[in-house]
Amino acid sequence: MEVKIRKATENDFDKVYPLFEQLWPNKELDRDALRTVFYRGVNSATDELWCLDDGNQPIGFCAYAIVNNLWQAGYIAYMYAMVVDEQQRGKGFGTMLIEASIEDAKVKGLKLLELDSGFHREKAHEFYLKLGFEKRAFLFSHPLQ
Amino acid sequence: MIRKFEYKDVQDIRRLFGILTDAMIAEPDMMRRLEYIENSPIDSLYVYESNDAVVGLLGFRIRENIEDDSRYGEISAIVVDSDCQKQGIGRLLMDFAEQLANELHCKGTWLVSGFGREEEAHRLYKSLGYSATGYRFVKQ
Repeated sequence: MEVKIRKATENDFDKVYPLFEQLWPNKELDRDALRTVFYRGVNSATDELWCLDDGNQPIGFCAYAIVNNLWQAGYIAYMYAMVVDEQQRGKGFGTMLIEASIEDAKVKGLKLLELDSGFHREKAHEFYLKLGFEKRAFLFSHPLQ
Repeated sequence: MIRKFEYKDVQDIRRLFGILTDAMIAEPDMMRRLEYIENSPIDSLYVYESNDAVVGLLGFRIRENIEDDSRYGEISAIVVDSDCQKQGIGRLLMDFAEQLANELHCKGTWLVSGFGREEEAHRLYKSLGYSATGYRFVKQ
C-alpha cells in the first residue's frame, strides 16, 4: 500500500475519530462537539490538519494552529493533536507527520513548532526528543469550580 | 491596582518582560507585540500599578481545546518586579486571571513555566491549587 500525507477534509472526521479515541482513552469524548471543532479547524485559515493514509485509510493524524503571543518575535506552529494508529506505531509514520508539518511551517515562515504533552506519555516524549525537540518547560493547570 | 496596558507602559513592560527572558526586547519589537495583543480577539495584557509605578504584568489568552471542545484561560505571562516580590502581587494577578477565566466561561486556567523556576514560581502555583501535568516541547 502507498502511504501518503495530505490535508484533512470534513469527510475524514468519521475515519479519524477512532484515532482520537486512542489519543484520549480516558476521556468521554463528545463526538458531535469534536466534529464541530474538526470542521472549524479544516475551514480555518490558521489551522492545518493532516492525514497520513495507508491506501484509503487514515492511520495517522496531526493538526497545528498558527499562533502568536507576547513571547514570539513572529508566528509559530502550535501542534494540538498528533496520533498514529496503535497497530501502526514504530514504523516511522509519526516522524513523517512531524517532518511534513515542519516543512509546511517553514514554507509559511513560522519560527518554531511547539507542543504540549502530559507526563504519562513517556514514549511520545522519547519520540519528540529523538526528532530534535527540546523539553523546555512544565505545564501547570487548575480547574475552575 | 490592575489595569489594561497602554502603549505608554512600553518601557516598563520591556523591563518586566526582561526579567523573564534575561534579554531586553528592543522597543520597536515590543511595540509590534503590543499591537498584536491589542488587535487579537483572544489575547489581553494587564499591568499592576503601585504608587504610579508599573511593577507587575499579566498576559492572558483564551485557548479553545480540540480535546473536549472547551475553553481554557492561559496565563501567557506573569512577572513581578524583583523589588516588589513577596508582597502578594503575584497572587493578586493570578486571582485576577481566574476571575477573567470565570467570566469568560473557561473550564480552568493553565500556564507554562520554565525549568529552573521551581523555587519561587512553582511554589506559588502549587499553593494556588495548580498541579504540574506535562511538558512543553519546542523544535526550532
